[in-house]
Amino acid sequence: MRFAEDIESFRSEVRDYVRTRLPDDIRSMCAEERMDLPKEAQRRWHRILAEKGWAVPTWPVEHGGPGWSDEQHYVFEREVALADAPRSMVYGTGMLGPTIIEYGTERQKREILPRIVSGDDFWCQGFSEPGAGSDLASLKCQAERKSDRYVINGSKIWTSEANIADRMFGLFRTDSSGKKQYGITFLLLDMTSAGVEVRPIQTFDGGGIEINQVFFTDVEVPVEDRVGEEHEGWGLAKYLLSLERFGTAEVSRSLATLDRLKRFAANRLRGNQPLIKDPEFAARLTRIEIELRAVELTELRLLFGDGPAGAEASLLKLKGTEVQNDILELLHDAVGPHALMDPRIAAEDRPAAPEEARYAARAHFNFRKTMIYAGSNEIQRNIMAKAVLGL
Amino acid sequence: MFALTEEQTLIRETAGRYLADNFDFTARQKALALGYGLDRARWQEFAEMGWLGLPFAEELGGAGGTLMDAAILCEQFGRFLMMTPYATAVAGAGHVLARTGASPDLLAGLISGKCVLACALTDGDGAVRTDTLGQALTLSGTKIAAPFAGDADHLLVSAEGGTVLCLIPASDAKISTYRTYDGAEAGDVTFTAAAVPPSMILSTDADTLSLLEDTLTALACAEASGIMWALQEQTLEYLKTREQFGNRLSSFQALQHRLVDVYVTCQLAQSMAWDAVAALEDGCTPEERSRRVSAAKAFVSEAGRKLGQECVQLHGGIGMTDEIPVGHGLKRLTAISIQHGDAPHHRRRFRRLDPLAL
Repeated sequence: MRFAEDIESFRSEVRDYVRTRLPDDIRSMCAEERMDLPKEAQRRWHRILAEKGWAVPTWPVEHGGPGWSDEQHYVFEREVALADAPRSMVYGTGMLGPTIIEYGTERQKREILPRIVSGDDFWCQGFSEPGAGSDLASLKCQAERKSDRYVINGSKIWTSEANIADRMFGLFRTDSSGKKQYGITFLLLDMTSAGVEVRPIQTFDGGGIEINQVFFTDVEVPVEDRVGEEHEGWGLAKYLLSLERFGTAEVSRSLATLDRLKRFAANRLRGNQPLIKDPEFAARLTRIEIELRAVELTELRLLFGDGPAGAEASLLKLKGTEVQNDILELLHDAVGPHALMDPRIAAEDRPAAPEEARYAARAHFNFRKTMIYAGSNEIQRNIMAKAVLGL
Repeated sequence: MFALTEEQTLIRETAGRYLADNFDFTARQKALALGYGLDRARWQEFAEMGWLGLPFAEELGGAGGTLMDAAILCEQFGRFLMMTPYATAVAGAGHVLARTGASPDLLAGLISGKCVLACALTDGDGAVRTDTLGQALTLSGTKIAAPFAGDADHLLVSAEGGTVLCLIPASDAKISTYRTYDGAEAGDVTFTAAAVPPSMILSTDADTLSLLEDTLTALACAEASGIMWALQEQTLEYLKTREQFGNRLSSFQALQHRLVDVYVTCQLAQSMAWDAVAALEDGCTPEERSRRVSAAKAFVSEAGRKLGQECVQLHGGIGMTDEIPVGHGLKRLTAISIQHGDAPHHRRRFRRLDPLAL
């Protein structure tokens, strides 16, 4: 899809900058579909973007953002993904920053925002709990008000990047007398606070640590680190979760993966012909490629055209993550028996095999999470049943 | 392609109102009881409303609209399961006549509704071949399942595997017509050394046929998209009212999720259909155009009939009856899925036209 000339020249500028400045080691991690980049690598890339003023793409100019149009933001996200560069840091940059800009006190804006822009602070999101997953509002992790501070006891789970984060924003129960959406308070805390314990959770894909359980024992948070009103955090959470209009469909990332898959299949022989010429394989590949195209065109139409308000994010997340998983499943199958290699085998112990064998299985299993996190695809269907179909 | 223009919204609303008033499902059933062919009186009304000239330039006698305008009309025809030669003969073949500059008189006839054209593009067992006869050509062979061939004054015929495209009076062919399950009429067309004068030979290369096929295919996608939306709305409405086990069917989560998937499929198909039509007008290369159209048709062929089957299933017993539109929608979507190339055909074409050339 081509936009107007000024947007297309912006695209070239982004492409040139990203491809010139992206360090090789970071590129190769992303090209292997890794989302568990080390903190140092994420910070290095963030600061390369910050030099250009691009580190916090959705923010307004007055807080250090580029003040881009929707088209610019769309093009930026596409070019970053096609170059195999890392995603923007979702928790600080994508979620907390805009929420502070909307709801934070002047002091919070002054102290928090510049440290996100500079890459000094990494944030994680403390929302889900062992007993509150899809039913998030039933969360119980308690923050008891004691004069000028809150005292937190309980636990959060599935917390991405808690193992590398400096700070956490989270939802805590401050009142359980009313409706479950009432009595939730939005607090900010340091991961180094006394009483915070992070236990990594190994996922079955065998890759690096991405998710954690976080335990709180008498963790103290000053009242000025509350965002919004006491007991009224649910509204902020809804705002924060509605921010991600772009990218939930993962189209850009899927296009990059599909391109890799096609090139691999063109060079890989099965029998005496390239795999891509095998009719069964070609049929599967083509179906998936066309499905991805349908998601891509729908994303464009809903973002820039006459799409219905509100339903976009759910529809795109649902179909986008399904097709993303289909692509990675096909990559796994294309690699064939060498995909069986356990991803934890050290480089020197691996048999001679195509590069893709190193990560195809890990990526295929790891990405099952995209259909579960950020509101499982079943929750997205519930949302659409209510919001779009009026059920 | 991302949003309708003001005119297109107006076309959608005007056509929707007209078709609801004159061609609702009851009227359709009555008309089908009388016959499956083209209702010439109705066709004249379409001409008077300006629909037949919609996508043609004013100097050609048209309304100066775009192919997308015609596609919006096709969507509405789809919603009402309106079976007409509009997409094939007027918007499709007319688009190619206008682009090639061939036979302006015939185009004027199409726009006025005086002349009806049918496209005979699918070879039967004896493929249509040509012989030279001085400056002219002769056609011999059989075309099958040409929509509304029995109602046509002229036929647009492909021959020699698609390298020759020509016009011929319908009276120069033997046409045997039959009803089709979607409520239309088709014809098998046999030529026996039928003469075609040079002025009626539109092209002797495959590019023009490819343009014609892409146009017809894109419009079929638009029609399918309209049918899909109608079935989605009817099914949702029915499940909101039907009660079993003391509850409305729409209150059951298993069914809600299936209704959501039906809705999602409609949105995806709509995007694909509009992109296919846009590909014919936005100046992309012929290869890219054909690839975009094939992507849309492969998607719509499969998703459309699957959606139709799902809507029948969600209706339950009543969905099996001839009395409500849902089964008729499924039949039309199934017909579209094998007309203008089925899903495997378009997947192969999409793969072949991949710019990566892998």
